[in-house]
Amino acid sequence: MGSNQKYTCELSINNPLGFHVRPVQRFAEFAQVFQSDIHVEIDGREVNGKSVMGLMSLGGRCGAKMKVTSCGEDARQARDVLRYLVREDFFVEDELDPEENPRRHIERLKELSSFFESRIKLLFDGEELDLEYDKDFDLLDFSPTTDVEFSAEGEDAEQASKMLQLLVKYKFYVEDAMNVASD
Amino acid sequence: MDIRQGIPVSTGITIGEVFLLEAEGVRIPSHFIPEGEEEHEVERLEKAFNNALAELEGLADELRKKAGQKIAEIFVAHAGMLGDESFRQEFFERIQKKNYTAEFAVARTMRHWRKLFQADDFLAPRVADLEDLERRLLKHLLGQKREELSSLQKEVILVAHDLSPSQIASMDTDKVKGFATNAGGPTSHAGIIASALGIPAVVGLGSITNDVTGGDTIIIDGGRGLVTIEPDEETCQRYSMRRQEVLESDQVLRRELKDLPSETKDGLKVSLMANIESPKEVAKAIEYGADGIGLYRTEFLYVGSKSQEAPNANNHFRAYMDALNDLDGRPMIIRTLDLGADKFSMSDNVVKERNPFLGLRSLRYCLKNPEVFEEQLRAILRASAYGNVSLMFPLVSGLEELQAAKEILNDVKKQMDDNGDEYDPDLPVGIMIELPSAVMNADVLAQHSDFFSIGTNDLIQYTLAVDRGNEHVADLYRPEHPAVLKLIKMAVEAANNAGIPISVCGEMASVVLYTVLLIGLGVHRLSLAPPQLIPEVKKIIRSIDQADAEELAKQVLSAGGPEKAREVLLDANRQLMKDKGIAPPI
Repeated sequence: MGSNQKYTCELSINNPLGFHVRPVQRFAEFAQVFQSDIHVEIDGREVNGKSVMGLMSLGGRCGAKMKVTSCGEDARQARDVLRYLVREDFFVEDELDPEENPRRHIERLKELSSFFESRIKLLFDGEELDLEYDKDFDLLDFSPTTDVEFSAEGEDAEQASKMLQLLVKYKFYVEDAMNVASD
Repeated sequence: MDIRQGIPVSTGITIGEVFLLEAEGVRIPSHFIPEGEEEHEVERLEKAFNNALAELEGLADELRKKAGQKIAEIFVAHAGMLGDESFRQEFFERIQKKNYTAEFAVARTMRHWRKLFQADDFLAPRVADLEDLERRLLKHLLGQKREELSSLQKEVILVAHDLSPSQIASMDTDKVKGFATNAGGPTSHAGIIASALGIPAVVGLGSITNDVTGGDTIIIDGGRGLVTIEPDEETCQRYSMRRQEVLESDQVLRRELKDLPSETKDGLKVSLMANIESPKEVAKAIEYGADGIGLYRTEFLYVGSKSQEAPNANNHFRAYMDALNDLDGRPMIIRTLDLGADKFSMSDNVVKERNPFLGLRSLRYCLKNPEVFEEQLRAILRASAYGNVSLMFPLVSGLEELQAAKEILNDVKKQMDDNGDEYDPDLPVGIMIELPSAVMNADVLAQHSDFFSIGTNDLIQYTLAVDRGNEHVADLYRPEHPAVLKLIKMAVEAANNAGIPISVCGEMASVVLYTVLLIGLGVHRLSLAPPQLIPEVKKIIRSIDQADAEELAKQVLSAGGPEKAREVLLDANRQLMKDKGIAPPI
């Protein structure tokens, strides 16, 4: 990881409800994965990107432009992850037909893991899959509620693990799957 | 210091500590910690945060299983808010830098955020989340020390969005020294209750709940509708002095007038009675010179009861006996239940009515639920053996309804005869005149009633078709509307022809502006609330002649429209007060 890098990206909020409860909650949780300082600016007001209250107070409506700045050793990874989250409408699936893309959890895993430099292994069905080399995600097949395990090795292993743990905890943000009773 | 203008609904001045009902539901016991205790206080708050967080996560898990993620998401978000490090830091800083107690730090930090969110329509819906979090944190901080509205430890001023009848019924009225509410108009429930209890109140303040924190000092100037938040020393002193002056002049007036008869200069006697909602109010009524109780509203026996069931005969009887003890032989008119079931019953069977004011309420409800009705009638009959009691049926719309009510009364009498229970066999039975239909048919109803009492609030509402609680039409609610005055006059004539007494017990009797007008319309019995008004009303009566009042009524009656009627009334009243050397009502 590079030391003290700074990345900025301009994004727009496209989900109909705006920067609402779920989007804010997810953004802050994702930002908290990283060591970098993260700031979010909307309409000239800037807040700590790891603070739920701060982000909420921005009152970002649908269509608002947001500037995300990350600064620190893992600034690049943070930028990539957060940009993906915003572009994916914070995984809010209110208007999505649940049948439309049944493999979206695997896509999310593929995208998010690609942002890290560490070697990530997926322990699943007694097998160990190396996500770094095994590019063949199309062959992967498990449901969002499956308890998959990961291991990560490399400079940003800590961040990568945290990120993937969030994914598993929230059933890959497949909201239908989140509704299933979990014991 | 911050001054807010609202709508004055109950006069008087009070200075005290805020009990913020909306957000906390509890009162904060102390605000500052001594130097050196910051660490300990931060630890307390940290523990409360962690407990609240654990509770929220538990709730989220539970709900996820029971109701799905959508609902659970609310608590996940709440947990996210509490887990926010920089947010937490704001609370801790208030303890470390300002020596706030953990509770006060919570109240102040939350107020800051509430104000911020309130100002943005996109964020305003989140204010409820903040209030919920605040309650949760305070619950964990205060534990057993929480104070509820029903068991306040010290005197407070209640600040709330609005007050529901059941909240008012459950509160400890000895400890509540004033009200200030966001909502409400000149005739809202909170105002009526406040003035009945004689405590200063201001309503319609808009956002007072966001402008104060529990424990702030505020001044309620009920006469002018002003609320001063965190007053400075000078303002406090000025108000304390004015309060003293008001109290003293009130005492002088009371002393001077208490034992003087209530009659006009030319000798027309005008009986002044008091309206009460609880036997606790009788002593005050007598103190201010009331001739008796002209209206005992018994609804509070129903809405104030903690149990889920309607009160039984014993509950009623005990309350009536308490009142009779203090009355010492003076008369008391007890009105039977005048509410819709939705107001007091916890039962799920209560049908939600589209138009409750035109629905199953009051006497109509009682006739359909004789088992509830009979309990109250039995208690009134029992009490009649011990004092000067009359019974009054509300909302009578026609003869058969009155006859049906009296039939049930007779059934109860027969049961009591069989049991050998004592009651007054000549118990006077009267009716409220509060529907236009009752006025139009007053000649017939008078043949079957021992007395009439005009309930002006309902009579105005049903005549003018105005819900005075609806701010969009509230200005159409006009007691001096010629239509209303003509109805009052008709009812008076019918009573006179039948030789039965007629009184006014509605709010109109309690507004000094209408005193002379009502006397001029032939009403010679007034029942008012709060009793503090009796000396003032008596003073006016003692300074006029009957002819003055009749002339004023004639002018207002012939004014034409309601606007003109108001103008004429104000002018004529002002002139009369000037001629008679009485200070005009404020």
